[in-house]
Amino acid sequence: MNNRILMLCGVLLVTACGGNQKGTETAAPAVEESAPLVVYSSRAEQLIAPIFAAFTEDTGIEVQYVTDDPQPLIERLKAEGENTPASVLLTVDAGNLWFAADQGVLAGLDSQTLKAVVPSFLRDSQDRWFGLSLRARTIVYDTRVVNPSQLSDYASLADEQWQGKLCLRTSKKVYNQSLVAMLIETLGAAPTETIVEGWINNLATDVFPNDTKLIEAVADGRCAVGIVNTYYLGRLQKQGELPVGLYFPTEADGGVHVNVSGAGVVKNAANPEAAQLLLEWLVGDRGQALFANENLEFPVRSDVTPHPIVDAWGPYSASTVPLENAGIRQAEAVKLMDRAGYR
Amino acid sequence: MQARLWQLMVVAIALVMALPMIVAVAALGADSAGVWSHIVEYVLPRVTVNTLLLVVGVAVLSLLLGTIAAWLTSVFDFPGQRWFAWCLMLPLALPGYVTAFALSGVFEYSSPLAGALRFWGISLPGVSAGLASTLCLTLTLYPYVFLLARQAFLSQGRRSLEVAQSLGMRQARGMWRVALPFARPWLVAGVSLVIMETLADFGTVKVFNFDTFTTAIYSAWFGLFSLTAALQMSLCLLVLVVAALWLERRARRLRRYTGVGQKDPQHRLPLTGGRRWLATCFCGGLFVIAFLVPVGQLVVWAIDYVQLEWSARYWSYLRASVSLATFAAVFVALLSVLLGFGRRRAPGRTTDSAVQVSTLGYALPGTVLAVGFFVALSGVQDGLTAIGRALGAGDAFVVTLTGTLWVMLLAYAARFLAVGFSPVGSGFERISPRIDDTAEILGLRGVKRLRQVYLPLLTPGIATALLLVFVDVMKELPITLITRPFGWDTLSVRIFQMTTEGEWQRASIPALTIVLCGLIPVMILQRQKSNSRGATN
Amino acid sequence: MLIVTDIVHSFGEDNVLDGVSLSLAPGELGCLLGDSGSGKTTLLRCIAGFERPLSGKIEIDGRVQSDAQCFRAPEQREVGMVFQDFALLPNLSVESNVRLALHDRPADGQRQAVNEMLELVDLAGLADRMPHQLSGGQQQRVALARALVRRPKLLLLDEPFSSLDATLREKLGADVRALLKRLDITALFVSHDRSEAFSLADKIGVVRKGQLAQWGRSYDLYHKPVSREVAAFVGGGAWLPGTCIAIDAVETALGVMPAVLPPGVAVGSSVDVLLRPDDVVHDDEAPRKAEVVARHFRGAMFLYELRIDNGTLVESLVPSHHDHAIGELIGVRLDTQHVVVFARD
Repeated sequence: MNNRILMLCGVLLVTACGGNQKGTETAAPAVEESAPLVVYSSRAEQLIAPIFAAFTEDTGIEVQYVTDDPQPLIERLKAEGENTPASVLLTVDAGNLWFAADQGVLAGLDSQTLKAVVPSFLRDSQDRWFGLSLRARTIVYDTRVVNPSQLSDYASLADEQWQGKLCLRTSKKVYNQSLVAMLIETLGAAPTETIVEGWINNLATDVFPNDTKLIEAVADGRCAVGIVNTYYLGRLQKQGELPVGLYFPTEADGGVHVNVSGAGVVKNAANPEAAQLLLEWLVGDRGQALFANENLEFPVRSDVTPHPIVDAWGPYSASTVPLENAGIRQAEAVKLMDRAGYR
Repeated sequence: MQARLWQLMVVAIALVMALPMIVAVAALGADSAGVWSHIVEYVLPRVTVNTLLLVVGVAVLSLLLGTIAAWLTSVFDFPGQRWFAWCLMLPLALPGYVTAFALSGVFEYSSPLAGALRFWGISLPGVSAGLASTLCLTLTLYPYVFLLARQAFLSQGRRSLEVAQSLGMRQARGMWRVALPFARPWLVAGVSLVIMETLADFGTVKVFNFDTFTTAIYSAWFGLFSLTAALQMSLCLLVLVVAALWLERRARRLRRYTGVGQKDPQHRLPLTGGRRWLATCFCGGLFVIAFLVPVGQLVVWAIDYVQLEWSARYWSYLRASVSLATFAAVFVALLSVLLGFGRRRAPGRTTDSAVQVSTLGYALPGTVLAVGFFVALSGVQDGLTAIGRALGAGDAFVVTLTGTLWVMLLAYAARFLAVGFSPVGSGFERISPRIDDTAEILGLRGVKRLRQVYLPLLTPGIATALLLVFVDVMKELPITLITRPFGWDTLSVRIFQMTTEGEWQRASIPALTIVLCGLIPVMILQRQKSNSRGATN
Repeated sequence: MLIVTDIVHSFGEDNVLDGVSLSLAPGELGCLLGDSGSGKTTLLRCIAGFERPLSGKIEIDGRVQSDAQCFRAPEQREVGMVFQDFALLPNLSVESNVRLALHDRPADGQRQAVNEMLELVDLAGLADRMPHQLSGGQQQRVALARALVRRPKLLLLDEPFSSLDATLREKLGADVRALLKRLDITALFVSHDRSEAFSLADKIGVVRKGQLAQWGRSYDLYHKPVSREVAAFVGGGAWLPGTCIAIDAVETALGVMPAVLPPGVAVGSSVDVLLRPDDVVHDDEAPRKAEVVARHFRGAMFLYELRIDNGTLVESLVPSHHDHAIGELIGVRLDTQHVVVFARD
């Protein structure tokens, strides 16, 4: 009798494995002669696929990728440890990059090319990750009711004049967490908390689930000012003119808060040489043009011309506080926003 | 002896299904660096209240809509009754987050509809995030109640109404005082499914930015970088789940005593005058808002974006979605049959609790579940590899579990075993012990009995399990995202790619494809239901 | 009390009820006896108001409930009903189940009415039990109490004993009859079991193919059936060929028997004679011998199938201490007051 049960279990295993093996074979061809470079990416597929296609074209190295949110990818890297198939972690936001480095899944990379091109405030102090494109999080305003001269820095949005006129995206988005983390870094925790409380006080309506809806609200006249990533405005501008202006805080006011899309080489990378090659290619001419312009971001290299829409916004000066602070202070920022009632 | 083996098997299945929870319990001891105390002080009070409000709201509204619709379509005759009987199940094919972003596309301030209405001087009332989440979840989840309530009302609705009338009650009162109590076990079972889905929901509340337990779990992990705190919160969520399951269990125990010896009269009661049109309007309105409007919005978007978005790759998304859903459905059905059989062969507290544990995963947020599996299986994998090395097999012996379909199937199973086990388990309950005695006399034991005696009797239950799990896996996102091997991008993954970048309109195309795929099993389910009803009559 | 006139009802093509009429006097217990599918349950449902007949009239207590013009809803008819499976609410205790029937009565006095009724059906001690804790017979009495506590003008029972086992059935049948008689309730029930019908009912209607073949007292049904079908349905026996030799006698192979000739049967014509088992009496002294062909033990009685010397087969009910083996020859004689006779086709 026992044998029958064992047999049943065996049959189950075999049937389940049967489907399974078939799947893995077709999905991951045996890692042999020209092993593909595996990238874990939190940038959406439609943004990275054309870039990797161009990379393969230039170098002959095939790229495979898995997309997901950054934290599950980092957990996956940690769990896979030495056996990981991945060589590169590509993700948005310095906070996530810092966390990946902090968790020990990224290796330091000694590349003169990268060091020469990526300013030090846009990369890890131990060179475990590098910013590849810049995303400026700045102020948008309703051009019909706001004069740019009324605007200065992020902190000023807590002023009384914006009572009932400010729009914010949810604090659960990492972009806002980084922004507040950098405010803490530059201004200190207590003043930042006052600022955030002031913002909440000034809210015109409930916080928005994403930047696009926020910009639409500004265009509708529901809010006078808001804080968004510029490329969201760019995308909407691709579809038509909007009564929405961009304001970049000046250098005197601390500059524009920028964040990065960046990447690092995985610690137990199966293919570290190809990984380094990919990172260096991404800061090359073709890589920069594709990586930044595909998503209307600012190239990390100042000598690469951005997309015409982005170019039209004019020059801006970025805050030069090292970005890894966004990660170091992110948890602090989240707690601060929770305390201030910023949802 | 044999019973003991079956018991062992049930416990083994439960252990595997409980792996993520074991990881979570292990996290209890870990230090979350002050994150936990922050959460308790600033986050928990608010999200607990929000979650409870959401769960109560969705449960009550789903109960109301599902029961009324089921009552009308099973007991009465009115224009469109036959049609509504199946099309009110269709929202089952819509993932909650899709309904959410489609409906908000229709009704939000910047939508063309709202704009047009403003032009005529009508402004749509502002809806709070909580209310919007409640409504959207209700519209996608009420079919669970509808499905189960119809099962009850079709078999005994008219008769319970007659019982009430013989006691001098009018129809409305009869429904309230007699028909509902008779149907209560089915209603509770439906509502507990709704409650668990609501507790696990992340996509819908995220669209409206409504803070619940699940969003707090994610922000502990993504924002505060503390997976430990996230797992600890998941355990709190489990407590709520256990409560919901306990309710369901009680209900099922009652269901055993509500045997209806007599078949229901076949024909429905005609509704007269205004009431027939009221019934049509109610069912029609529900169908329009829960299905036609969101799907219509998706179609409108899809027309705009189909050129940009549609490509030959969709065939591979489709193939991945359908094969994963099929594998998972078969796997879950198989586990459900084994659990049901084990519980029958080795009844007792141990087996019972093991079965309960196996179905707990239904209410856990998918990502937490998936990561739990990943962490646990990596441990197993490392352990096995180390053993292999120690035995001198060297690097030749490297066990690969992660990144294979195995992990996916296990995680899907942990998530959806509750869905699959429900129909299969109650199928087992309906098999009379006398059939066991007969099989015993005929010398049919073990697997032979399972194959020759039980399986034919369980076919309808297994079919329901297969179809429900199929639809659920088609819609599933977080587990698919993290566990899929290379090249297994599904339709829901495609939706994720679009929505993370806020491109809701473009996401309409994969969303519509999911809905279309989901419709097929829903239709089969309906056909099977009506066939089996025809057969028993 | 209940007058049903010429009811016609159909589902689709075939008439389920085809011109049924019957009446019950106050306090009478009626039974509709028939096979499944005969239409007896549909007739009961028409009287209860769950079905609206296509034509015909139903009156209860002098009030028209259903005819071509009017149709009163079931809840307005003051009719009680006991369902085949009792239909107790599983979530309510015995007391609450009974009290449910008093939902539209003033709250004070409810408890007393319920207690009295439970007392009557002998369930006083079980008021707090849940239905699933009761035996089948107890559940049935709860259902009865629930139907009676409203003091209905007419009580309808749908196969009230079919889900109970045989020994319980007889006892409960007698109890129910005694209770209904004591409360002076007019009741109509449906059954497919003739012994149940005989032991309970004052009047029995045999329903066949949507028609009421005969409606009358139990004795009349048994001894004066109007057709072969009714005769066969209400009791067994053997058919013998015979000839009418006078207006009150027939001659058969077993001799001359007194008979009531049906109308239209002339003296001299060929007839079939029904010989009931109780018409053939075992008597060791009797000169006529019969061979035992088969025997069925019925507790107090044996039912013997016997072959009389000339080859005629008959049945006989014999007290069970007369234990005879198959093949044995036993003495029989006829004890016929008058036999049932039908014209030969």
